[in-house]
Amino acid sequence: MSTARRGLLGGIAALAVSPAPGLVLSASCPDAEAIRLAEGVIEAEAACCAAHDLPTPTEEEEQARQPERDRLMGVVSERAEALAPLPVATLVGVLAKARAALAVATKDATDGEIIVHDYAEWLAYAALEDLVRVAEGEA
Amino acid sequence: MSRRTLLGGLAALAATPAAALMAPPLTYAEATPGRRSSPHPDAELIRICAEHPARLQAVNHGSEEGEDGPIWQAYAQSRDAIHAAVPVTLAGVVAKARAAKAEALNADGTESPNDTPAGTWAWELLNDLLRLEGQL
Repeated sequence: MSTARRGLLGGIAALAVSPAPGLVLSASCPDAEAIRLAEGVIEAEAACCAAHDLPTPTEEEEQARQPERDRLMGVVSERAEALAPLPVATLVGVLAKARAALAVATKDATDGEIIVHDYAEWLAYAALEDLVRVAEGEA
Repeated sequence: MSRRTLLGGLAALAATPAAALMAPPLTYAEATPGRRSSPHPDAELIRICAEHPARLQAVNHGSEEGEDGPIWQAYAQSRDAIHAAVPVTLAGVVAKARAAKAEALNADGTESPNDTPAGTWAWELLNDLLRLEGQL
């Protein structure tokens, strides 16, 4: 696991996976699909981080595990790219998308900078746009 | 992959006054300035965010060159104040989100947050939103 990916386990991720006090998802929530996708992004990211955390004592083991790591990163990217353009209609949906974006954002612990995949940026800005759209719809 | 500095969101949380966090929760309908009679906890942020697009427009369409003139200085002051502010209500978060969209707006109507303050503000806003989640 790279230094940057380890950083994901820090403060940003702690916020991203926090529960949603006061917000209860009902079966009829119009954003059920987006929320399901957002949870899928977070799960895939966790699996990806776990794969990068596995010890690889030898160079051969490191190389042998890389294809699986690449596959898991592909899953994260695929799910995030599916979630980003999916418009949400409720604040619960906005929060779900925000959690997913923060889950895939990566903090570089060495210099304090954030290394952000393109799909994380798309998700973050999509959540921002959703927030304004939902606010204007209810104003 | 791009590299972007995430400016201060988490560190700013610790400095948020507890009294401000106790502000009454707002609905989205209240996220419009002028709808409350008592002073709003994010009144100053909301005002600055509302004025920011005009200041940005003045920079983009003015004849001023460089960063020493009054038009740029007015824009930079507004931009920096928005960045430094920590919203304590949903209305404040929404106001900042609207300012971010103004920063990301292209001449053709599309939006590109990359290489604008909007890229950083988006991450700040997501942290703000989740921080305030218990009050929503």
